[in-house]
Amino acid sequence: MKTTIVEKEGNLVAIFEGRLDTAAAPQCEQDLKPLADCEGRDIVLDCTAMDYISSSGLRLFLSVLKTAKPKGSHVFVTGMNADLRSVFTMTGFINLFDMKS
Amino acid sequence: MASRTCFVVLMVLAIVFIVFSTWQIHHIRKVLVRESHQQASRSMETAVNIISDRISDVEIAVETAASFADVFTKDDEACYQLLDRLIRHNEDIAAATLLYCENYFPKHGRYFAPTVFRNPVKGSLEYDEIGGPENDFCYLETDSNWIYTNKLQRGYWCLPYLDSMSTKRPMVTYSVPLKEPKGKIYAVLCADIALDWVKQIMDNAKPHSSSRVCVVSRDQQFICHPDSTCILNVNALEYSRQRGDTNLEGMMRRMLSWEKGSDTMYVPFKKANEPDSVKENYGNQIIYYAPIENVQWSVSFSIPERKILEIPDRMRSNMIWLCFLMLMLLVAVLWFAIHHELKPLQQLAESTRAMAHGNFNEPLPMINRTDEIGNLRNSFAEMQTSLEDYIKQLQMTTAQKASIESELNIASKIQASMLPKTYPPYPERNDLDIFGIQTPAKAVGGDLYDFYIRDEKLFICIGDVSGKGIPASLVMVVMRTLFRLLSGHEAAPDRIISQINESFALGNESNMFATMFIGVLDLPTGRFRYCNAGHDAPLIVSSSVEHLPCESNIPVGILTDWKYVLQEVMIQPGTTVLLYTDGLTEAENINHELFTERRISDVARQALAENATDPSSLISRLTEAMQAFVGNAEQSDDVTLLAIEYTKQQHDVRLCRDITLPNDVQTVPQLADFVESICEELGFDPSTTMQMNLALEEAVVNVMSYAYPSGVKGTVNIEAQANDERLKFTITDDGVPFDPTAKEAVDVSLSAEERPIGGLGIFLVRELMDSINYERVNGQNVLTLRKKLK
Repeated sequence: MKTTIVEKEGNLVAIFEGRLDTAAAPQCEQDLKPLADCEGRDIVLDCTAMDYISSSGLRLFLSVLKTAKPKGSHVFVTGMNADLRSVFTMTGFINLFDMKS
Repeated sequence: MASRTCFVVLMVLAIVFIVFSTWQIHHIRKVLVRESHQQASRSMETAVNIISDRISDVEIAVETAASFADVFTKDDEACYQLLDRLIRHNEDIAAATLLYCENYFPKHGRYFAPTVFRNPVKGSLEYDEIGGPENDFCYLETDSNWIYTNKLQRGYWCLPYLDSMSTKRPMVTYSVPLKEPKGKIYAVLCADIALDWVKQIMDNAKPHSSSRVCVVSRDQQFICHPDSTCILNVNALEYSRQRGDTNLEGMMRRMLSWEKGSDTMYVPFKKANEPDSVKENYGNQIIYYAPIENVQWSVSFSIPERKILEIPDRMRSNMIWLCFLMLMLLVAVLWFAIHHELKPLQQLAESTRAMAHGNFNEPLPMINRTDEIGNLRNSFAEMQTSLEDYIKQLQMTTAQKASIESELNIASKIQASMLPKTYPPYPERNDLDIFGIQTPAKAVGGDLYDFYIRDEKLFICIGDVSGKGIPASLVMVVMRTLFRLLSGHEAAPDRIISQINESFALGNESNMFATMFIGVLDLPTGRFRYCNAGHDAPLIVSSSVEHLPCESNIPVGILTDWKYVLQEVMIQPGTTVLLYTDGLTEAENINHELFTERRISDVARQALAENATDPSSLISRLTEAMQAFVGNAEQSDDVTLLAIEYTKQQHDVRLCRDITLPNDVQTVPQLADFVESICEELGFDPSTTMQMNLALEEAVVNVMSYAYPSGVKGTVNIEAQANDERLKFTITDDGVPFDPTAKEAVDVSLSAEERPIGGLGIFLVRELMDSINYERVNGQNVLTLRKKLK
């Protein structure tokens, strides 16, 4: 599991690669900390290269949202495959995030 | 009303009038008859006197003439003067004659009878000499006055006779002897009297024009008679005898005995349709008779009774007509008066009739009277007002009642909807068959039963709330709700019942209680855990029929802090568990005998013997047996029956593999590899594989995180087993009791701000797997996840 944060067109983009399972979650949480300084910039969670997400991963996504939203930032989720999308649908997360294909 | 009253009045008055007028007429008749009698008697007396007087006058005149006759009788010429004078001064004398003795005047021969008579036509006096054979009057030899007078030596009235002259009048002669100084009779002076006047006098005296006058002489001859042919021609006694009337004959005899009196004779009618004037001569005739002494006659006249009673009879008919008219008038006036008086009553009756048809606003007629009718009208007005109020109240009450009934109906539906009603309830399952029925004694009942499957566990509940009807039904709803609520995250029956008891017993002011049996059947293993709070012990029908052993726990709602005891038994496939309420055991027949558990067991044994122990057969047999036993007796309590047949079948195992991991989440990738290898072997597509991966990771991470306290090392064993129907993962650990299924469900519809971090794990497991099942077995937590294979 690899998490990279880049700045792109004034937005913060987090790129996930591999399986975001319970084992990978603690490291990923560390990697996502810079997103707390979004300062109104929109956040894009790029899941194009993500294979898998468990509830631990979902919890991290929700933390990002809960941190960013009060600062006026939008959180977008992009590039999810059908399986991931079904998990988002199942858990109602699809309604919480701005989904981009 | 008017007609009837008029009729009654008419009747009464008619009777009064009839009685009164009858009496009055009778009285008047009596008076009139008496009056008529007196008048007739007076008339008779007067007539008799007149006749007697006139006869006496003749007697006196003749005797006076006789006293000085000798002056004239010595000369055959002068004697005419005597006769002339006598006849001239007495109108009644028709002829005066002197009958001289033999050869008194020799020149006149043996007979000399000078006579002076009135010419009946001219009225002049004529002289004649009538004695001797040439005049056919040989008075010295024949039966004559000469002879009788000589015999008597004094004045003599001869018998009446008919005038020899053309008039043929009845006549009578008075003769007196003329004597010489020596006493020898030398002549007889005769005065002939025509008796016309007797008839006239009687006719004048008779009280009525149609009265019949009759005079009878002493030789029983009629001197006067209505029939002139009878005069001096018929013997009166013989005549009356011929009439065949003994009364008439008797009267005639009395008359001829010269008696005085009156008699009533009946003269029969000869013809029916004669004129009234003739009719008067028939019927009852009152006949008055009296003698005339000096000539020995009897005079009589009759009065038709009809004539006397003519006046009262006319009066009577007039009176009847008058009465009739008066009655008619009276009735007309009365009818009109009553009709007029009762008219308001009629109007009132019409208004009342309208009211009777439900129109309570019908105005009553205005009657400005203070009498009974006015009072009646006012009473009706009051009644109308009261009725309106009463009907309004009644409508309100009825509406309320209807509303209550409708509410009760809804309540009944609500309650019924809380009970399972679709059978079979789990058609997709092959390890379970359930059937249940409930028959409430009232619209709503206090019995409850419920079952549902959660995490491969069948939760069963049956209970009976004390009492019946609405209060019991309310408690029943509470019980059922508590059961569903608590069993949602608690699989231990004793704890569920304890919690129900705590929440119910606390503040149970109405002192309601409920017997309750809760059972949890673990479907994969057949382990049956149960807790009985005072309920009838269920029946286990397997190879035999036995009651499930039950601890004697108290019913819920009585005592807080009661420790309810959990019991456990293994149920073998093919076993039927029968649960029921006391409505079945205590079903009464008309002799107040109870159905009892013995009969239930008998029915179950019979069913077992006939291999009909499936739930619906068993329950229908029990229902039929109960109905046959109860007969026509009224159902006294709610009856609930619930039967569960455990029919789990073993399948051949196709795949069985396991892995043991330490309680460290960093080993999740190993788990993923294990799951992926299983999925690959079973030929799952990547999506399903990912779902299995996710479910297993969440379940195992949950166990790793919570079954062991922080810092305690332990292991988690994951076994994968597959047959033709399903893939099963069994996660076993030695940690503290931890039931992940008892976690409350996650609300996925909450917003980002409201959603808690975490809690999604078990939710995802439930979403991804077909079932999740937790059991604490032999000090281990056993969590089973199942996925059906398509």
